[in-house]
Amino acid sequence: MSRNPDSDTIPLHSTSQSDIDEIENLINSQPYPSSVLPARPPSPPRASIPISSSPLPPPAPPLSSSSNSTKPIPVPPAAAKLPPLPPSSNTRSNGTSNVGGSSSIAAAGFGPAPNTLTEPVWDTVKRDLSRIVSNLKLVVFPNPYREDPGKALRDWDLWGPFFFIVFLGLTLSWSASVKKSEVFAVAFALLAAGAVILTLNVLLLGGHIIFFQSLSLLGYCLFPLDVGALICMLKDNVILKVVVVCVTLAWSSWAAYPFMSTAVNPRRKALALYPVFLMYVSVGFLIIAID
Amino acid sequence: MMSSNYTPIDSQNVTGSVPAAADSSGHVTVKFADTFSKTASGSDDDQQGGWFRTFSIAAYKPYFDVDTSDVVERIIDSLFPFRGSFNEKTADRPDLYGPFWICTSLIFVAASIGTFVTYLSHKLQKKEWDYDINLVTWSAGLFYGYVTIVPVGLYLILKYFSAPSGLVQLFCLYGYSLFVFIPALCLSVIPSQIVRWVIAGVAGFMSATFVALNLRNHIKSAGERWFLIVVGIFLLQLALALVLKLYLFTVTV
Repeated sequence: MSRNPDSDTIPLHSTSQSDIDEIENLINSQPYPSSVLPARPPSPPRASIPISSSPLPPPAPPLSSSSNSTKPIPVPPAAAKLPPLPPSSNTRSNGTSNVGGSSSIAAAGFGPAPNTLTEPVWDTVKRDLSRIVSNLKLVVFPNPYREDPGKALRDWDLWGPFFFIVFLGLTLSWSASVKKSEVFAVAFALLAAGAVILTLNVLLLGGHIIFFQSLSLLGYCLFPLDVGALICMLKDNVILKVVVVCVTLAWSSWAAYPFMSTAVNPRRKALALYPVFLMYVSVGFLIIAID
Repeated sequence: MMSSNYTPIDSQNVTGSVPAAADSSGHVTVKFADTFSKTASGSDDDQQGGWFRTFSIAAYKPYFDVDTSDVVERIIDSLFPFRGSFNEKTADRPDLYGPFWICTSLIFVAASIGTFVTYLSHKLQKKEWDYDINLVTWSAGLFYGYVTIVPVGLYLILKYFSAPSGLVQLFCLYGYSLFVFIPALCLSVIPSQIVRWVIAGVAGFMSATFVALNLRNHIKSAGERWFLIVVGIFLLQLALALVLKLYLFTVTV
């Protein structure tokens, strides 16, 4: 165990040097790797499912793979591509030679594309937010000349109404000086139960409306009252509050009118509309009274 | 997928059996005039067990079979207590829309007027005022409880005294009888105690007479003694008016 004074390495055994040389030859003979090689030696190409546009060659016998060291390298990146793609495209491409991506499955119209499970969270949130904004524009700012009046009805969602109801409850609770939690509880219960009861009312009167669609629309029509509540919270003057609440109340009722009136028999229109008006008036009253 | 293993029975030539008399839809239906059951909902959707039906919407649809003009006419009827013909007019089509929404409107009006009255009296005396959210919850409990429990009790009592009346009819009667309190509450904003007592008295009397006269006509037609029950109902309705007046308009500043 003599130490070489020039370097601090231990002199090698005679057979070790040949092993090291052989490994170095192997490394140097491969092309520069574009990706980090896996820690374990790459497995021989499995009977993998051809998913890319250029189908991989049929599984080579294990003997030939070791002789051809460039072969295993494309396999790991391709094998690594397998997990993100949904299993349905795999089964599909077993029968046919080529799929060209899974986007064709999404075009079948069964809701969002199947690979939404693995998309980034920001994409999901962005999609839901854009749906809320578009529904809001269609419901609360109805434009008589818009090209597709039924779009808000088909694309209903419940996130928007949820946010608006909670926001209204929170605003009322912040404005209250005493019994804050009871105010929030009453406001939330009134709005949530009110939306359900209004929908049941329309259904019982023989109207044609889908339950969750109606909940969604009634929730979106709360948006003007949210704005009114916010203004009333910031500026605490009774006359201003009455004016603001009257304006936003009229706006909410005007937004809800077309959906409710077309859902029932024309002879019962007033029977269906009066409870909507009553609910918005009571919420408006709550906004004025809480100080 | 499983049905592909079965063949429908009318296409099968089963030896030794008489083919069932089937109509075009493939199953035998027997239709009979169902005139003696008031709660006749469509027998098509009576697929579930008997008690499931109370939780389906279709079971309650017959009670909401009213138009706007019907409801308005019934409301106007309730304002004229001495006619006494409300029960007969609504006997074949009692509705639950009127009672429920009149009650709900009454709760809202009571809460808002009560709040406004206390607000005014506090402001006039320059005192601090906080919104009392309990007004809403208490008035809800009072009105919904009154319209639900008293008709059920009355229904049981009438059955015991063999002058039966439909339960929904009693709900209808009591619900419409509460309508007169809505204009009365609106008028009670006037800040004078005498005026408020007079208004409460008149409204209570009208409402109680409405219920009492209609009940009297109904029990008389069944041939029983009506006096005690009717007087009891009358006093109960007056008590409601009293509680309303005291709870909402007693202002302690």
